[in-house]
Parts: sequence; structure tokens; C-alpha cells
Amino acid sequence: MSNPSDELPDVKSIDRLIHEPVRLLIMANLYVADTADFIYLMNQLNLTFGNLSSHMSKLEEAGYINVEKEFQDKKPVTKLSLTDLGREAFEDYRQRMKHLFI
Amino acid sequence: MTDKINLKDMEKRAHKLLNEDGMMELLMGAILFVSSTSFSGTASFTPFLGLYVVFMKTIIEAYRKRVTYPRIGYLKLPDEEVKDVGLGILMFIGVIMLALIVFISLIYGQVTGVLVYRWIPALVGLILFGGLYYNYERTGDKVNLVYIAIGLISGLGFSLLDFTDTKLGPQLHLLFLSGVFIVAGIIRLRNFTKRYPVISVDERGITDE
Repeated sequence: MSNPSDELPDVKSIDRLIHEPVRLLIMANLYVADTADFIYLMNQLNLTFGNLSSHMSKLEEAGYINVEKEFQDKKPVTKLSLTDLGREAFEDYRQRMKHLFI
Repeated sequence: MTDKINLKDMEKRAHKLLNEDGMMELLMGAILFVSSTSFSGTASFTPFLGLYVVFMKTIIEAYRKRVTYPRIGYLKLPDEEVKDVGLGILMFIGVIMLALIVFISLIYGQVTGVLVYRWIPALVGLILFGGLYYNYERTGDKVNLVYIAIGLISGLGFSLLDFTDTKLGPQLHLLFLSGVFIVAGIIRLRNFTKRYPVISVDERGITDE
């Protein structure tokens, strides 16, 4: 008798880093935008600075997003964009989720 | 609440948000105002248009840095293929102009300078329709439909009115549209600044308004 989990390879291969709802929304927002800063994402996703910051670090560690810190008019601005790897991972995630259900 | 992530809607919302700052209206108002002067013979539109094309990106970015980004955050959307958009605009204007000439010759049996001037407001209305409908498709912002209606109705109206000077109709029409867009731009800018106060996040992540 086969193990049921062996019949669902797509489920096992889902990228858990992207699958987390907040990170998925961060990735989706960055997928449609070329670049966005912290304030934009905080407003769009109703997140606190700390919450967004922790998710951002995880995505940055995975090489999915590029984080650039700069100063504009003496104020810190953190700009985020998807890396090529992140874009590929997001597209792959979408495809897998599309094929998961009949 | 929806359980789906609609990327197309997300993109539209981002475009719409950037469009709410009134910049498009103010820029259009300025262009239409300068265009109207080209009919008076006192100013030339061409140098302004050249300057506009060269400095457009700089002007837009300066406006957004000062007005938009401090309120909604920095957002850069993917650049559209300028070549494709430019070609599309030129082709659209070409088709509209050709259609106008055919229309004039069918109605009046001839095409003269006076008749062309008379129908320029209608032509402007149709050109605005093309540009604004494209913007509506991109942003989903229904205010574009209001501008389209104003452009088409006023274009037809000014073309049907009799003016003592043939150039007066197109000139007044452009001035009228310029006024509409500048007023609309000021109203949108005021609403935008009220709706989105300036926010900043310092290095520790403390937000102040």
C-alpha cells in the first residue's frame, strides 16, 4: 500500500517560506511593483514595522528580495525589490498552487 | 473579504494610488494651456513640447518625491515599453486625423483649412478619449471616464459653435480643458494630502505623523 503523502508531491514541494500569508502578500506586492519602500508595504499590508521587518529579513536571507537602505532628506528609506530568484520562486509557487486542486 | 490574490487588481490599485496625487491632471492642464497659445501666434508650442518630453520624467519624479512618496511610500512600477506606447499614440492620432478628414469631406464635400480648424476641438476630444481610456484600463480609476465625457462633449460643442475667428474655437476649447484639468488636479491634490498625511519611519521603526 502506498503512502498517501507520496501521491502528493506538489504539496511537499511547496515553498514554505512564500506560503506564509504575510510573506506571500509581500512577494505579491513586490511582484507587481518594480520597487517599493517600507512605508508603502506597511500601508498596503497593515503591518507594523517590526512585523514587516522580521518577514523581510527571512525573505532577504533566502535571496528572494533585495533590500537597499538609503537616506533621503536625512530620513532613512528602505527600498525592497524582488530578485530574479524571488521572481522565479514566486512564479513557481503560483504554478504549483494552480495545479494543486482540481 | 476575498480569499484570492488578484495580481492584476493589485497592479491596478498600485497604479490608481499613484494616480490619485493630481499630478496627471496638473501636467495635462499645463500642456493644454500651452497648446492653446499656439493658436494665438504669440507662443510656440514646439519648444515647450520638446522640453516636456526631455524633462517629463524629472518633473514627475520631483513632484512625487515632494508630494506622493512621503504620504503613501515609495513605489516604482515597471516601466512600460516607451517605444510601443509612443507608436500606439502616434498610430491612434493618425487614424483619428484621417477619420476626421474623411468625415469633413463626406459632410461638406471638401476639406478646407477653415473646416479643419472648426473640427479640431472634436479631434482633441477624441485624442483625449484614447489617452484617458488607456489610463482608465491601467488604473481602474473612474474619474478618467468623467474626463473622457467632458473632452468629447466639449469637443463636439465647440466644433458646432460658430466663432468669428476660425482659430478661436480650438483655442477656447483648449483653454476650457486646461481649466478643467487644473481645477481637477488641485482638488485631487487637496484630497490626496488630506487622505494621506505625511508619515515617516525612523531608523528604530517608530512612525510619526
